[in-house]
This record gives sequence, C-alpha cells and structure tokens, in this order.
Amino acid sequence: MTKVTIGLSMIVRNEESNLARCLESVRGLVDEIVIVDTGSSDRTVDVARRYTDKVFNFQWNDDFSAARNYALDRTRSRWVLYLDADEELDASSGDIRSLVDGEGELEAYFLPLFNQDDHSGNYCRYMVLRLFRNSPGHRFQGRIHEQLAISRAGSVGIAEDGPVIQHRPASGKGRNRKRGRNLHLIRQAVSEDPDNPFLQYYLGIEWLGLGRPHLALPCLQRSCRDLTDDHLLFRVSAVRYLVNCLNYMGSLHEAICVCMEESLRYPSYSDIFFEGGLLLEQIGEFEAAARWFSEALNCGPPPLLYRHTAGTESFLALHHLGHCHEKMGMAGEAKDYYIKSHKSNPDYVYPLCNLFLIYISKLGPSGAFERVREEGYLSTLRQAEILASLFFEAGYPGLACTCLEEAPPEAGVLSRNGLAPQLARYSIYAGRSDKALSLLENIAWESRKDDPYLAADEIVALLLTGDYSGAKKRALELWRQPGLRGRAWGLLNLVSITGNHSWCGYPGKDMEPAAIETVMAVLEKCMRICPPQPGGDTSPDNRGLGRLAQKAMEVLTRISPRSFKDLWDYLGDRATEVKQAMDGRFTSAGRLYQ
Amino acid sequence: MGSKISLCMIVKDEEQNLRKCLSSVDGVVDEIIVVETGSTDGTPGVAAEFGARVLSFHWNDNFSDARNASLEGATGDWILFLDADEELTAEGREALRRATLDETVEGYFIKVINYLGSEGRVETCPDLIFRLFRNRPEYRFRGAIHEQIVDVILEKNSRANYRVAEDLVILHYGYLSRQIEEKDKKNRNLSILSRELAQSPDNRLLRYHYGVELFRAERYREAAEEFVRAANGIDPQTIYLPKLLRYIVLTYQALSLHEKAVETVRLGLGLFPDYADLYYYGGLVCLDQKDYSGAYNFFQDALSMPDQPAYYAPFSGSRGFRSLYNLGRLAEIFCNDEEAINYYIRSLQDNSFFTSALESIARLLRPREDPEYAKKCLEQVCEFCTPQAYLMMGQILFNQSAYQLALEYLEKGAPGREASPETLLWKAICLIQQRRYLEALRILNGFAPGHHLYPLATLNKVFCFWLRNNRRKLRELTEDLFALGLSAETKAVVSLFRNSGMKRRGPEYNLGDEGMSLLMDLVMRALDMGEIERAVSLLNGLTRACQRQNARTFGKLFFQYGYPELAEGYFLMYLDSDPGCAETQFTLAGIKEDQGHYPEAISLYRRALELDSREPRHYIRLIRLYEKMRRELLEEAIARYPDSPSLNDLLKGGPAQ
Repeated sequence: MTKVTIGLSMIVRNEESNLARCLESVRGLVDEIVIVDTGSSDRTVDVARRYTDKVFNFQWNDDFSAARNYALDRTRSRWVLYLDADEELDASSGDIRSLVDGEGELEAYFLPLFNQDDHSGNYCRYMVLRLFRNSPGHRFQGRIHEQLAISRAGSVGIAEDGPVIQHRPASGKGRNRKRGRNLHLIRQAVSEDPDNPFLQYYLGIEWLGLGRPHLALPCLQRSCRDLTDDHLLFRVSAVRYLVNCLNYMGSLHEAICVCMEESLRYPSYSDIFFEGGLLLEQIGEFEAAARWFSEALNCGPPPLLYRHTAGTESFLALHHLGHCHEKMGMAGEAKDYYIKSHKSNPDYVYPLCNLFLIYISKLGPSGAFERVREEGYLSTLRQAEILASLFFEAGYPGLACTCLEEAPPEAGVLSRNGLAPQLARYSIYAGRSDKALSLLENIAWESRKDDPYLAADEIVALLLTGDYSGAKKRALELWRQPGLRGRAWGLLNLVSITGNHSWCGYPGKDMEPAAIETVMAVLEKCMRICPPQPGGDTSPDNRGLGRLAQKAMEVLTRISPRSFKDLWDYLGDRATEVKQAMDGRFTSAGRLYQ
Repeated sequence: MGSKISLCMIVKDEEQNLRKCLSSVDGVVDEIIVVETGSTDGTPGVAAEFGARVLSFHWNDNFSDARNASLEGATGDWILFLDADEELTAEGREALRRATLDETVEGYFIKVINYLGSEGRVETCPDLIFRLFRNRPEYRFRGAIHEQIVDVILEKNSRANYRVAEDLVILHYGYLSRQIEEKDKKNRNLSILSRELAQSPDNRLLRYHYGVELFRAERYREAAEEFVRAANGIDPQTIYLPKLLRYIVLTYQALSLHEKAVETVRLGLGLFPDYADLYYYGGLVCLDQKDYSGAYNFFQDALSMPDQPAYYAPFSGSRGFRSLYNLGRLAEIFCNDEEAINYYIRSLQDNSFFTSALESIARLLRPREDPEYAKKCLEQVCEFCTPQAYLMMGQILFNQSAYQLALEYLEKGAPGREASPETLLWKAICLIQQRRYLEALRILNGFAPGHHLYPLATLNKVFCFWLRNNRRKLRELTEDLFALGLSAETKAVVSLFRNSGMKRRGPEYNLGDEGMSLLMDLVMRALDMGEIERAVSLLNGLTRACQRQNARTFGKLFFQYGYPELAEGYFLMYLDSDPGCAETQFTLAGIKEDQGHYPEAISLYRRALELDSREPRHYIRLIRLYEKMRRELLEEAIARYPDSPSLNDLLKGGPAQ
C-alpha cells in the first residue's frame, strides 16, 4: 500500500521570529513543506529554506485566496495541511496520520484551534478547516478570510482525537498592524458582495478589534441574523462577538437579551450561559448571575463545532459562582466554589486570591496559613509562589517566607533558586536580613549587578543589619550604570540619611523621578511591617523597619517639593482608605466623627 | 351633691405602707373598705385608725374573690381601688372629686407613676390603669391575679363610657427594689398565674401577666416564650400591646438574642412609630452589639419623639436624659469628647439627678491631671447649693482618683470630723495622697476595732507606713490585721506590703480577682504619688504567671499614670499569651505614637483595626496619625523650601484636603 502523503502549505510574510517554531512542530509529521512568501523584508525566506527547498515567491495582490491557491498548486501530497506561521501543530493529543490513513469517504477535517488569550493559561477553542484532500476542486475563495470550497456536503469530518493547532498570542503591535491591513481588504470585499454574512461577520470583528463597536454592531447583527446553523461555527462566533460588542458599548441589558435568546437556541452551550452570567454580574444581579453560571456548569463542554472558551463549563463558571456568592453574603458557599474552581484547573490561580482573602478575614493570618497548607496549596511551587506574594502584600512577610520554604523540593532545585529573589525580599521584611543577604549572594553577581530592584532589597537588608558602608558600596556600584543613576542616587541618599552621612545634593531633574520612585518603593514596603502575630509568623524587626521608613520619609521630604508632594499624597491616600472603610461601616453616625 | 366614693383595698402585712396610703386619701373618700387577708403585723390597727371598715377574708389564691369581697362591702356610688404601696397625689384629691361628678362616664383609667430602682437613684415609669368606676352589683372582678374589671363592665353595659382622668395621679412605690425584695410576691404570683393559665390557656392578658412575673423572676427564656405566645395574632388595638412589645425586647436583650430584639423593635415600630422606648432599647441593643451606626440612629429617633400616650407606659428618660447619655457614650466611642460632654450636659439638664451623666462629665474633665480646670468647668455645669451636692461631687471625684479635688469637695460638703465614717475614710485617703500623713492618721486612728471600716482604715495605715518606710509600724499593723481573720486574698495583699522592699523575698503570691482589685487600687495610689519603684516592687512580689495574667491591667495603669516604657513591657508580656487582643494593640499603638515611632504605631493601629473593625477609635486614631504625620512633614518641607508655591498651597489647603 502506498503511503498517504501529507503536505504542509503555508503563505508567509515577515515571520522570521515565528516560522521556525511552526516548522519544528511538524517535523516528521508531514511529507512535504510548501512555503509561499508574499514579500518578506526580513529573513523569513532563509528560515524557510532550512526546512524545505519548496520555497516560492508570490507577488502580493491583496488577495489571500490567490496566494493560498498558488501554494496549493505547488503542493503534491494527497492531503494538505495548512497552518499560519504563528501556529503550531500539537500532535500530543492525536496523530494526524491516522486521520488520513484510512482514506475513507471524507474530503476534509476540522481541527480544533486553541487560541491563547494571554499568558494566564486561558484559551479559546474553535474548529478550523485545515486538513483536506489535495484535489483541484478544493480551492480557496474570498480575498480575505479565504474559505475553502468543499463541494460535497457531509464530507467534512471533525477530528475529535486528532492533533490540535496551538495559536500563540500576537503582540499588540503586530495585531494592530494586521488589522489595518485586513480592514482595507474586507471593506473592499464587502462593497463587492454586501449581503455576504461571512464578510459582515469579519468586518464586524475588525471594527470591534479597532475599538469601534458602533460600526461593528450592525455588521454583527446582520451576520447573526443571516447565518444559519448550517454554518454553526460562524454563527456561534458571531453571537459571541455581538455580545462582546454590546457589552463594550455599555448596552448590558441588550447583551443580556441576546444571551437569553441564544441560550434558548443553544441550550447546552456553556459559553452563552457564562457570558450571560458575566453580564448579570456586571449589573449587580448576583443571584440571577449565579443561576446562569450554574447552568453553564450543567452544560458541560460543548461539541467541538462550538467556539468555546475553556473553563466556561468548569473552572471559570465556578470562580464566578464563588464571586456571586460572596457578593450575596454567603462566604461559606463562595469558599467551596473557589476551591472547586482551583481544583478543576490547578493552573488557574485566580480563585486562590479570593480564597486567600476569605481565609485571612475569617481566620486571621496564621489561621489562613494553616488552612492553605492543610488544603495542599503549598504543594506546588507555582501556588506557593502566588500565596507567598499574597501574604507579603497583606503585610505578613514571615508567612510569605514560610510559603516558599515549604514548597516541595522535588519541584526542582533550579526553580527553587529561581525564587531566591522573592524569598530574599520577604526575609528582609520578616526581620531576617542576614538570611536575605546570603540568599542574594548566591545569585550570580552578573545577573543581579544591574537589577535595581534586587539592589534596593540588598541595600535595605544591609541598612537593617547596620552595614552602612556595605550599603553605600552597593549603591555606588549601581551608580556605575548610567541608566540607573536616578535609582542609585535615591538609594545613596537613603543610606546617607540612615547612617548620618552627608546628603548627596539634588540629583537634577532627569534623575529625580527614578530617585523618588525608588525611595517610595522602600517606604511602602517598610510601612507594611506588622506587629507580632498570633501564632506562626515570626516577629519582624519592627524598630529597624520603622526607623528605615522614617528615614525614607525624611529623604522624600528633602529631595524636592515634588518628592514631598508624592509622600504627602501617599499618606493622604492611606488616610483616605481608612476613612472610606470607616464611612462604609458607620454611615449614619458620621456626624459624630466628621 | 351625692357622689359618694368608696375606697376599696386588699392588704396583708402592710403596716408600713398603709398609713401613707390612707393619709393621702383622708378626707377625699367617703368610706374605706379594707379586706384583710391574714396580716400578722399591725395592719388592721392602722386601717382602723383611719376609720376603715376592715373585712377579714380567708385568702384563697384568688385576687378577684378578695376584691369582690371588698366590693360587696362598699356602699358608695364610685369605687376607687388602691394598693397599700400606692398613694394619691395632693393634686389628685381635687381631680378625684371632679371625676366622679361626670354623669356620662362609667369608669376611668388613672395614671399610675411607678417608682423604680434603688433609693439612691429613683426613676419613674407612668402607666395607665383602670382604677375608678361606678359601683354596680353586676360589676365584679375576674381573674385570679391581675384581676380585671374593664371588660366585665363592657360586657354588662356595652355603652359604658371610659375616660382617662387627666389630673388624677397615683404614685406607686411597690417596684422600688427594696420593697420588691421585702416580699416574696414573685413566687406567689407565679404559682397563682400558672394555675390559672392552665384553666384558660387562651387568655392573652393572663399570659402576658404571667410573662411579666417570669421576667421579674429573671426566668427570661420562659418569659420570652409566654410573651411571644401572648403577642401572636394579637389585635393591634390591644391596650397593653406596647408594653408587651417592650417586654419582649427586654427579654431578648436579657437573653442576648440581639438580632431578635432588634427585629422586635422594628416590628413594634411598624405598629407604634412614635414609641420612644422601643427606639431607646433598640439603641441599647445595638450599642451592646457594637452596631454604633444603628445605635446612633435609634437614640436620635428616640429624642425626636413627641409626648408619649400613657398606655405606652413610657419609661422616663427615653426621650431625654437616657438617650442623651447614651449619645454621649457614643460620642466618646467616636473619640469626640467635646460632643460627648455636650450630650452629658444636655442629659443632666433633662434630669439633674442622673448621676451617670455627671460622672462621665467629671471623668472627661480629667480632674486628676488638671484639677483647677476641672473645677472651673464643674462649677459651670452644676449648682452647688447644698452640702449633699458637694459630697456627691466629692465622691464622684474620689472614684475618679482625683484626690486633691475630691478632698476639697468633701470638706465643703462635710467639714472636719462632722462627716459620716465613709466620708472620713475617703478624706483620710485623699490626705494620704497629698502626703498629709499626720492628718490622715489622726482620722484613721479614730476607727475603733469593732467598727466595720476598721480593717480598711488599718490597711490605709499600713499603706501610710509603707510609704514612710516605717518597718516596725508596718509589722505591728499587719500583725494586727492578720489577727482580724482576713480572707486569704486580702491577707496575701497585706503580706505583699509587709514583704516589699525586703532583701529576703517572702513567698511569691498568686492573687485572684478579689485580691487583685484591692492591690490595683493601692498600686494606682502609689503611682498617683509618683512612687514608681514602690509600685513595681509590689508587683514583683507576684508570681510570674499571675503577673502575666494581669499584665494588661498593669500596662493600662502604668500608661495612665505616665510611664509608657513600663506599660509597654507589660503589654508585650500580655500579648505573649493573648496576641489577638485588639485593645492592647491599640494602646501600644498610642504609646508608639507618643514616642514618635509613627510607622510602628501605624502597624499597631492597623493590626487593632484588623482584629476588631467595629471599634471606631481604631479608624479614627489611624486617620489622625496619618494627618499628623502629613502636618509635621509639611512643616519640615516648608522649612527647607520656604518659597515653594506648591508646598504653601498644601499648607493653606490643610491636611484634610
């Protein structure tokens, strides 16, 4: 039996930074690679040539289909896979070859595409038609958002267990560059074919992406109206963009109406219930929102053809259920939802913050610490790191240290050491400057020499141990870096004032902002000192930290009227926070204290 | 002019009260019928003195039967009922006559003013009771206790017209606690009522009265049950409903069911939105719960209420001095002493005998720290026209440990040796505090061994000689005291004095509450005299555990008397065992603030706030500290950059922005 061949077919332009990763991902999986360059000015073609000799040039003519079809014409394999340069094939979930080997009736496959939203691990999944038989009839149509014309109905399969395509998030700049280009092409296409719901859909998305929801709205409404469930993939997407668009415009109630209508049409589509829940949450209808989130949970994951944001049927819905219950004054239930949310996706860390806040207000700091430890949240490094930073921000540096120290050693020595800067910082404010200094010493000098934040921590630690000359030396080292002189100057003056040395003088306008920012950062951290805690937390060196805070204030009072204004505002903001908390609690008795 | 009035009474062992009662109606009523239910004292004789017809009646646990027996004997056109512990006011005599001349009226509700509280502090509470009605044979009492006749008359004569007799006032002393204690009425009433209630379980009024008796017997849980049963489905027009609602609130409060109490207050206010007592008690419950916002609203609302109808049986002061006093407490809680003093003064203006307000004013004037200023202010607030007034102020100041000023007032109230033994002892203590030992000892030596103040007087002599380092006298006097057979606790305190400062330490002592409060008083007096080392040496005679346990009290004392460093040490010792004590963190914060360690003070205030976010002072002191820091730093900045326009703008804008 002859081998069924697969060819990767791509069009690229200025993708030198992405292309290699894409091509690496198909290494050994495809038999042929065809790359059509549409006019790169960077080294894209060189990268391409490292992987294949079928690299062609195509004169760009504002028509995506023409370019893609040009590439198809040069692909010899029986099946064609097509990818964009910022995508990768992830074969860990399934083998691509098993899809084509049988050579059954099917003409093409939808593959799931996972669109990473950001770096939080959130992603959106939808199906794309990217694998098809290489036959002359299968050619792209449309100048932009080109679609493959598959003539025979019912001949497209959904690759349930096949490989998936991972799409990397683009940088904001790159995204906008593409948008501008796309808008031009789409508007041209729409003017030629004004009733095409697909084009309306794409035009709506472009306007939305450019921050023009009023222009997007009619397009999305038309596409929702005109698309049928024969194009479920598009229609469902259009609905979600429509909801986003209305939300963006502040028409929350209309957006809710859309969700309600569509939830009747797609009663098991978790995302629509989730979106509805979000909207209700925004208008403060927490009880109703909770019902919608519960419904999203009941839906379970939608079929592959539905555009789906991972977690709307599980951890995201659970997280929001927690939030709604908290708002309804049911902290106990809220807590359970947060726990479930985090459990159902340990990479999703936000519920941990909510849990932390509930625990700390109910159990106090050491109680909260005991609880997170009991519940196993310190058993992975990532969780421990997050909890440590939460404890630190809340003013419990000792507990922050313990979080990191209790993190599992099996997580790898490397990653443990990667947290050394954090552990050092927390140690300083927990009154263990000696330990902090030895931790910092273990970090290679080269990598900490020019890090102004590490330097600031180190100087604070030195000051707290009374080593003024060491502190001064460190600040002077920082001074050698021309870009860091403002910071160095701020720290030098802090050292001077603390050690009763002479004042360094005014640094000049250029350096002033950085100097102020640096001293301010030290002040804020010092002001987070805590009195002895019940149980657990060790008592920090309050006197030392308090003294340093006072010195930092002295420096800020002295640098310039501007630096004093920052200090003034900082103290004023703290007072306002307390006032607001007080007003919230004692509204009607205000006359007694205002 | 034939309108003959028969006074009817049932009495038992009322010799003392009866005379007062009968004198008040002498000459107003035309006949007196006294049903006597088995007195063992001179009651029948007193009755006879006033010309009463005394009918002997065999007590059968049924008040109605007894009352009806008196009615049988009455021949007048009108019946007036009084209890022996009641009397008619002088104005009421004329009013009584007038009332019985009105042809259209069948019966009158009469205002009864109940006197409450112990004798030193009497409060009044008016009520409206049916006590005067036409004498007709078909009008007879019903109910074994809290006997009723109102509804009986209405049953017999549906057109009967009732009025409130406006100027007719009866004073009732029976609630004065001493008199209540004198009698075992409570249990008697309870057993009668419960028996009767078993017979007619649907009688709301009976159930209400039963609840009241349970409440008086401090059986709150049962009282709550009965009250709620009486109130369920009641006709909102029922005359005693306001009182019932107030009882329910009081009962829930006594049971610490705060939420239910407030719920009842709100329910009651739905029916009687002008009922001042409900606002007042709502305020008290909120205050207990540290719901200061709610408390403030309730007390303000109570103040704004109009005159109360008599069937509310309004408690005195709810619309006035009591609510004002509590608003003063609230103002103190919000660190607003000036406003607090204003409220206390208004409270005193409403009721010049309300000593709680006066005590608070005296305390806020800090008479120990600044006697001259306090004196000046007090003379403005109070008119001292009697020796009693001076004495009272002297006592208040004594309780505030303002010995110098206290002595001045005590002397004015009771010069020289003319004072009561208690006053003499106070004077002696004040003299010791002024180091006028000889004068003090002269007074203290006047207490002879059998006198009930002799041990205290001797203890003060011990204190004197301890201050003067006279070991011999100290030993003698302590031997003397031991010989009296003191309690173990007191003995331990005396031993502390005896052993303090000795090179060879005696055993270390462990004191309980009793000994500790005695010792604290003496330590405080030593501190008042600046005898810091002596004070510390006394405390060092206690075991470590005992010191640790009471460290917070020591800390407060040392802080109050201006020894913040020592106070800090004790507070830290205390926090070791109870780190979650918001109050201690807060006080420590104050010490740090005074010492100029602002960041530490901030962290302590924040901690206190975290531990107890219901206390307004935790917020207020923190806000004030931030503002103080801003002001101080601004001054520094301006000194450095005097010409900076932006800094000068800040100066003008003030720290509040």
